[in-house]
Amino acid sequence: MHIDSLPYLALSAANDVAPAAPLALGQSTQKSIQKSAHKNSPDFSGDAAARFVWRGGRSLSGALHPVLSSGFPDLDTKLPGGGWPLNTFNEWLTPGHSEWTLLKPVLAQISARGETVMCISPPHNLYAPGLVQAGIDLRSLYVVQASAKKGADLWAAEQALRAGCVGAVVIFSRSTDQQSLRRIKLACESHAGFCVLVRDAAAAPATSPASVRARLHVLPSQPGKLGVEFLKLRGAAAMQSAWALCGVC
Amino acid sequence: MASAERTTPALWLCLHAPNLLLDAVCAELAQPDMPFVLLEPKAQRALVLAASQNAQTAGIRAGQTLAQARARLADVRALPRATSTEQALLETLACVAYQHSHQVHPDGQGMLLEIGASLQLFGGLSALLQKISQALQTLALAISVGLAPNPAAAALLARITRVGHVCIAKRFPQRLHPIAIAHSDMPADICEALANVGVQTLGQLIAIPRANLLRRYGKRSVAVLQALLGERTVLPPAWHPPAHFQQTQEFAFHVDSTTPLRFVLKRMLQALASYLQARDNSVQQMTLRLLHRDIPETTLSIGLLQPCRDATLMTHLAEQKLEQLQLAAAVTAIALHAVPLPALPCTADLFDPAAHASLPLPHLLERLQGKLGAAAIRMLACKADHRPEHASVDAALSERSQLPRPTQLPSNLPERPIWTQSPERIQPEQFRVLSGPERIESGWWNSDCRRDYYRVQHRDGRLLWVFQDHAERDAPWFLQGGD
Repeated sequence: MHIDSLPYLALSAANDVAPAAPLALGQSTQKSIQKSAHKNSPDFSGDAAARFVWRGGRSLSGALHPVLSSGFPDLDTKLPGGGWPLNTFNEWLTPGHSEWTLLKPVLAQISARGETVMCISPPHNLYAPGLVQAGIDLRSLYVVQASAKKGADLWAAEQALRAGCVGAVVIFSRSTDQQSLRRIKLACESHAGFCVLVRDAAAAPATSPASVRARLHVLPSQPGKLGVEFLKLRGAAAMQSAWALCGVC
Repeated sequence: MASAERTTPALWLCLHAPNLLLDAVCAELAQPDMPFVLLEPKAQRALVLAASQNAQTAGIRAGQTLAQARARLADVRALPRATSTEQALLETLACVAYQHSHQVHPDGQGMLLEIGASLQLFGGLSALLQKISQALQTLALAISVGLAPNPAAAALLARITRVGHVCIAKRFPQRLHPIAIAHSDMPADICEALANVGVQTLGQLIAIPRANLLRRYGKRSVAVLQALLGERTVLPPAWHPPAHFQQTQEFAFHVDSTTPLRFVLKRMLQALASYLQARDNSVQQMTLRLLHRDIPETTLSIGLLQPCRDATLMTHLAEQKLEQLQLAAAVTAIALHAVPLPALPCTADLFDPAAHASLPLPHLLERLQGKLGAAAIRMLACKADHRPEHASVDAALSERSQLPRPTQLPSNLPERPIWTQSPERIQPEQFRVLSGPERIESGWWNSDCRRDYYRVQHRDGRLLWVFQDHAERDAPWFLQGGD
């Protein structure tokens, strides 16, 4: 790969690029980014200029963000690095259901590594046989029932993230307390695992400190598919399509 | 070979608390900078036992009467000495000492311990002293340290040393020579008699022939000298940690908020941690009793998920318990009781992936449970029962041992939903069937059950788990779960 063919982007202080970024890249460069991010290979360390080039999918220090495959190939290709980013704050906006379609493969991977999964205030009674079939080890699953009053649910989430011993923290919260959400985001950055806040889609217009905001859509025209729309995607150079389709059945 | 088995020479360390009386009172004083004097409670004559630093500046000394003290400083406060706190502080000091020596002897306001045998274990004298001073830091107690080949000399050196300093007798007994006889255990009348003939220091005393000393001043003078030179060892009875941990703190005033309680409790738990460390024990259950004047005491039971001896974790849990407590009345005393468990089970795994975590999982769970309540953290398990309602059980963290053991689900079990609810009616026009039916028929002795289960997708996109109940008339449809 020659350095001439690489997409040059101006070094920006913020690492987040909104979907409507002024720099739009062609399909081919988009692909080359993802390819190189997957392989972790392009070696231009000899070139001094390369150190001053920020490329999508990398943090400013140049390291690749660790990711976790979403379990849906179509979705993985849309996510920078090829999966949901770890040690950042993810936010999924749902129509009140369907979040487990995306959660199941993620939690199964975490569980398979022998790490702990913590579900904070799930709105339903979780059903053990279904979780086992999804590949989640019940011995490492803790369900925390904390009321949203006085922010106990977000407090519990922050404690779990800061402890550093939990592989995945899934927060079901209606809280809109910006300060608590920012604290969660800071805690996520020190945490090596996966963290997602599942909220109702009504919260979509509100600002959020999350690095990745994905909105889940049910598509009447495509039964059996789940549409994922990215409202915000850290590390993406620019988005050709902010949509991905996941087969659900 | 014989030289290799040579026993290490004895070395005695004395931890002396010169301001024990003041430190015990200061720990619970609201305004520590007010001048005060300590009196023996219920004494016939009000004699000053000790005076605070600023009272001493005004000229107040121990041994004066309260009237004399008041004459020097009108607004000096008179407080009773806190005997129970003094005892508790000495007890904690003994626990700290016991972690570093097998031979601990309480001696008045200090603690004598033999460290010659411990030097090799702790990596030399300076490392050992460092370790002891670290352990003492949590204790609000001013300590001076003396080090000598025999206990009497160590105690003497500790007494003449300033607080926070260590006096080591490098050249013994020459180090004793310049010390005034009055500082030693020599009875006052003999001291006076010796001073009258011009013998003031121990060096002068040692120079006098023993036979003359014995003839002129009696057996007592020789006994003191022999003890100081290590010719005869007199030791107070040895101390061993008691079988149960019990500490009580009485308050001089009535406490009606939990904030001062937390302060005292923290000190008690540090003492408990030292005690557990000394015995190489752990604790899983403690009882905290808050005593009131007129109404029955409040009892708080503090349970831990795992045996522990970490002061920080115990303090955190106890503070969470106190926060949730509404005091029914003012507290007059607080008591902590704990029964130690045999030993701390070794649970640390060298290759544990979470070992680098800043807070281990058991501590995190304790913390969450402490704040959110005992039933807030739940664990799930499958149960071998083909009625769907009974195939999933959950229990609070503390009762997780009652959950069924993890079993393999039957491989031909059709897909189950992620969540369930109690069945509610649903109209069949609202969904399209994805898979099914699965006939479930069982438990007639419990509830008549004849159901056909389907996985369906609702018109609004939800993936649901519904059944048609053939036990009822018209076979209505029910929604029971979903993804």
